[in-house]
Amino acid sequence: MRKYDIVSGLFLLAVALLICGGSSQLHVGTLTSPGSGFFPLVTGLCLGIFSILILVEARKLGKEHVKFWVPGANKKGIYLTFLFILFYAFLLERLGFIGTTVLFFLLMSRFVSGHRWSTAIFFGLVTSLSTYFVFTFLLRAPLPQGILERMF
Amino acid sequence: MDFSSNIAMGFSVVAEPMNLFFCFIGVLLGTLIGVLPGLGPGPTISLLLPLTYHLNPVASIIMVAGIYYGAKYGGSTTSILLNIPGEVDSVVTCLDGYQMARQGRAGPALGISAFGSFIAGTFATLGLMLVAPALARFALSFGPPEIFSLMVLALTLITFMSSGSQVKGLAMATLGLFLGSIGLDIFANVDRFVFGYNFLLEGLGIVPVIVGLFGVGEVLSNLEVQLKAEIFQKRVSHLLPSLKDWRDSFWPIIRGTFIGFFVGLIPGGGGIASTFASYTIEKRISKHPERFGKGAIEGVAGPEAANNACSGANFIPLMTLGIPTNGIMAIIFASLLINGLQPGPNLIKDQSALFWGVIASMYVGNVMLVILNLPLIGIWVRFLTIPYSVLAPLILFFCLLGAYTLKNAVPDLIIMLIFGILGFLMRKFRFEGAPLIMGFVISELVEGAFIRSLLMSGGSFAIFFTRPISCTLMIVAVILFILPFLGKKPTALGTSGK
Repeated sequence: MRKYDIVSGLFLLAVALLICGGSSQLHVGTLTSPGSGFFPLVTGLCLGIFSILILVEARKLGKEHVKFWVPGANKKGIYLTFLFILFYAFLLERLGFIGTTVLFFLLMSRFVSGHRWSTAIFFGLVTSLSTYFVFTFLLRAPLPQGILERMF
Repeated sequence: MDFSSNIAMGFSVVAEPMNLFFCFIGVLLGTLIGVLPGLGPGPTISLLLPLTYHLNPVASIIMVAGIYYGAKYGGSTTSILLNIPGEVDSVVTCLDGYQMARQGRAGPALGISAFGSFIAGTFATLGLMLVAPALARFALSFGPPEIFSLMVLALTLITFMSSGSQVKGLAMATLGLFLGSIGLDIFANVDRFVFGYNFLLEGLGIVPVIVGLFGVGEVLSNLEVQLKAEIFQKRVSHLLPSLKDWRDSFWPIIRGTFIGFFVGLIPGGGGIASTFASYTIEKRISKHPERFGKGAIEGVAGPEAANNACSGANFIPLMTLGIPTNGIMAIIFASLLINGLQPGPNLIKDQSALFWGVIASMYVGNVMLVILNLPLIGIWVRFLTIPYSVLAPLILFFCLLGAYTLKNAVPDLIIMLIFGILGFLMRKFRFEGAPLIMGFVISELVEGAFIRSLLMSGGSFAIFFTRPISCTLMIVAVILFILPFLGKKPTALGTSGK
């Protein structure tokens, strides 16, 4: 874990420096009259101290070899999931709720979970239609409209 | 109003059909997600946060509480039948519960687990009813310095009790405090770290952050290892424990209840800490410690009681002091905020119907859970056969839906995704999510108390050490901060928000 702790310590130190830099662009004020940058600056300084302590702790750790991925990790599934969520965010207000959701289920079920096309389509249609009805007609919470939604 | 009229009011609130219905939905969902490995109460409650926004506050909090204590009941089923804890607090139940199942005694193990949980859950509710109002009255005398010191102590405690490095926990809590300060400054009405993106003016948003960190992060982690489970005993019968089982389990249940209740009062004192404590004590005082790990019913009864008592007691610091004691309590804290309620000493006074209604719902919910977990056990066993490949797209879809529907804003989906990746990486780099969420949800409160204290004292930090309560809280926090550096940190304990 030593390597990971050094990497995370350095990353957090960089984040702390960015927070301190960003806070100083705001009005920091004084102890008697704190400004809007005061509290973020304090959190940035504390984070900096803790990240240095993480680095100090990491030096004490042995060189235990831990791999980032577990053996036989489903890396493809993780990358695809990330991509499909991005697709969902991009298409939701363009294609509408039902179309985007069916597509999301189709892609997830087929390429991440490995289900058959028919199962994936059925799964996507049932979930998206039932959710659409619950939110639109029971909870009265509007969901993005597309071609399919305008049919109801 | 006196005690009995408060309780009567609570039961009249929970007797309303809508509240009763959502109490049932809560415990049903709780049992379901407790049974299903890979989906804990934290992600589930976070997924339902936007839904609670559309319900009335009493019904939504009753449902959310039901999910929390219901998951504790359901978690034991997976531990006993699969040797996989349905949720992290049930890990100790695997040790003897699964061995009982291997010996064909899954029925009594599940039975004693449900009865033990019922006894402990009922006791914890009674304790909550007696302790909370007195503690809230005491907390009403707190000024900004006391509130700030209390929050510092809570954050230190939650990181002290966590299973990993305390410094990492504190770093996450601090990062959470910073993330909570993004958006409009509450004092100066100035935007901070918004970078021209108007959607950030209201802050990062509790729901996308929590749903990302707990929901998406957990799905990504589970996708990596591809959970597979094999049920050892598919047909479960003879659920009622024998007289001998009751004799062996009675005192472990009583002891577990007390241990769980007191551990649950401490910020960071999650269910797992109480179950380990109960198991260790039972093994130590047993005349036959060699039976533990080989199917001793005491090893199921004690920890299960401790776990459920702990979940009831966790509500006391939240409802009275406004301190979430673990990650899931931080999410429940968020659900109160979403419903326009501020957890803390004034909650009992200002929202007495909600407070006493939630307490009464816990009595009713515990009865529902015994019914759900004993006669209907066969149904839950069938749920265990649902593969994670079916659950993963569903969970992710509810994450997306949850993050989007609160404000109908696409940027919230991006925030959710970023925090999902962060949650996944945090698990890899052994950072815990609970301190970050806790820091995030109490950030506004901490900043307010900190700034007001400085204004009161004319800029002197001495104000935190010159007032007796604040000074005591700060000294305890400092001691807890120093202890790990002296090698005095408990290692067998963990936070339930993991």
